[in-house]
Amino acid sequence: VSGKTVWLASYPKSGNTWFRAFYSTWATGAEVDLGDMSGGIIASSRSGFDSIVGVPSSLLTPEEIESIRPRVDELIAAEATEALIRKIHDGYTEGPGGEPLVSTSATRSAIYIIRDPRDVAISYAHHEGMDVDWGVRRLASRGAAGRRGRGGLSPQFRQRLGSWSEHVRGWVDVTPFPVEVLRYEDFVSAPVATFSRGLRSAGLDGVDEASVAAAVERASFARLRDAEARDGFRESTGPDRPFFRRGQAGAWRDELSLDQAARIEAEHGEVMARFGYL
Amino acid sequence: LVRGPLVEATADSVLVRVPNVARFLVRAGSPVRLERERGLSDKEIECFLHGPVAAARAVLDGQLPLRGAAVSVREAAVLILGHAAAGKSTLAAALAMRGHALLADSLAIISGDGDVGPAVSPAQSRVILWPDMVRELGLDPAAGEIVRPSIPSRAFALGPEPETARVGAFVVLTAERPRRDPELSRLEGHEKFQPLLGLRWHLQVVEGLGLGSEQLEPMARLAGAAPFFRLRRPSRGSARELAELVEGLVP
Repeated sequence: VSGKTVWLASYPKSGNTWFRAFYSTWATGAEVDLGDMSGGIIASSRSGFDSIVGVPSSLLTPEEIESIRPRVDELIAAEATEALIRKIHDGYTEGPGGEPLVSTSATRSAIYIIRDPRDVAISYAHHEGMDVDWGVRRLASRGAAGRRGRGGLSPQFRQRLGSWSEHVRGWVDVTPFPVEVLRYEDFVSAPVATFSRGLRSAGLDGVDEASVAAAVERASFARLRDAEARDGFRESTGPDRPFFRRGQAGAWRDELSLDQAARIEAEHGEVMARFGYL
Repeated sequence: LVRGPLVEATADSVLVRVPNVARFLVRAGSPVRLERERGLSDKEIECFLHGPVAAARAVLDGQLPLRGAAVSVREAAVLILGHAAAGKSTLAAALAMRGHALLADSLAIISGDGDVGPAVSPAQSRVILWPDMVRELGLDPAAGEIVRPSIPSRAFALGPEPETARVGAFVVLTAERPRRDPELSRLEGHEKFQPLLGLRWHLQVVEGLGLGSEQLEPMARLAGAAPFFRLRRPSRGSARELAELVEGLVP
């Protein structure tokens, strides 16, 4: 088994797509194309699974799928010739047989992107077309799976998120491979240094300030928002809900009530303090 | 020669192993050998026999099995290709409910070139739908048959009896970049070839056994045999509208 996978892991709406867009334009030197970003398929991709496994996942139970997913990771990694960055929103957790949901032998390392949960709650709720209270409850929901399926066949499998704190602790504390933790807020305040750290942690060559700064400019939030308005983006959940919304750090101060902020801080205070959010 | 999590293959056989269900050994020219878990009925293995197992047989027989549905519209087979969860079965069901015969739900096998050119024979008599699409189509959930007791989809027999039909059109269905209204566009040149390349069944087996080059010629013939369209569907609630658009593609 080839340990070529570099997981780009985060709770939803924490900057994962921003990093992928940056990585893509840095790697290719071309303008960002939201429909064709570099890197491997997302860990929860149904079509990727079906294509590799040869038995449609629609005929399998979620538990059967989760027990096979590590083997799919291994087949994907075996095809890679260099570090392969793959997006994942699942927590670092176990599948039904007690094996981690991602293959550790196919893994080189991970980049974990963390964002202030008060901002995540707002962004996630907007993404799902729900109110902010839903977002606050969702981040506190222990052992929860993502809102996929809803009685139908989704392009992605259920994502085993857990609560926001469980997600952070799983990826940062439990993983047996190296993990580089990057804060969304540092992408906003010091993008060149922070994106460079991410690339270097993945073992990529050619990470110099000029190329990173140019890619940061091409993947600026304003440009990503324009690209989505012009071309659409598959991860948008509806025509009235753009994926790229505000892209700010600390917007919760305008958008959360005191009570909502207090509930998040009470639930996640320990992890928030550890990463400088309290 | 090829070892995947559920499918293994040698030059002349494919083994499909579905844990807790059955092992299916497919050899060219022989009946499928089946070892099922105790207590499982024929119904519970049917979805595998008519899907991945039949696709494996087609690969070994030198045919071109594609991941898609097919419906006969005015005696022409319209193939609805697309990735998982693109909405192929729902569109096929909507067309069948409008009086067109269902040829395939998930596995469209292109048979040889007779006088009429490439054709699709009836392969799957039922369409498998998930509860949200059963509701959208206005079907009675109780009329659907259980596919596997542990999954919520149901199989429906819809539309008139099918007959082999020449290939009339390809529709590549996508849910990516959803818009408010469906968008239909004609594909030309290599754009026609890409979906055929990517939406073949058992790609790991085909590539692993070196059969990829043998499939190129039939794919090239197919690409020239009928028009290709990309149909970008809205995020929800559009099956009937899409079916009307597809009907309009066949003269």
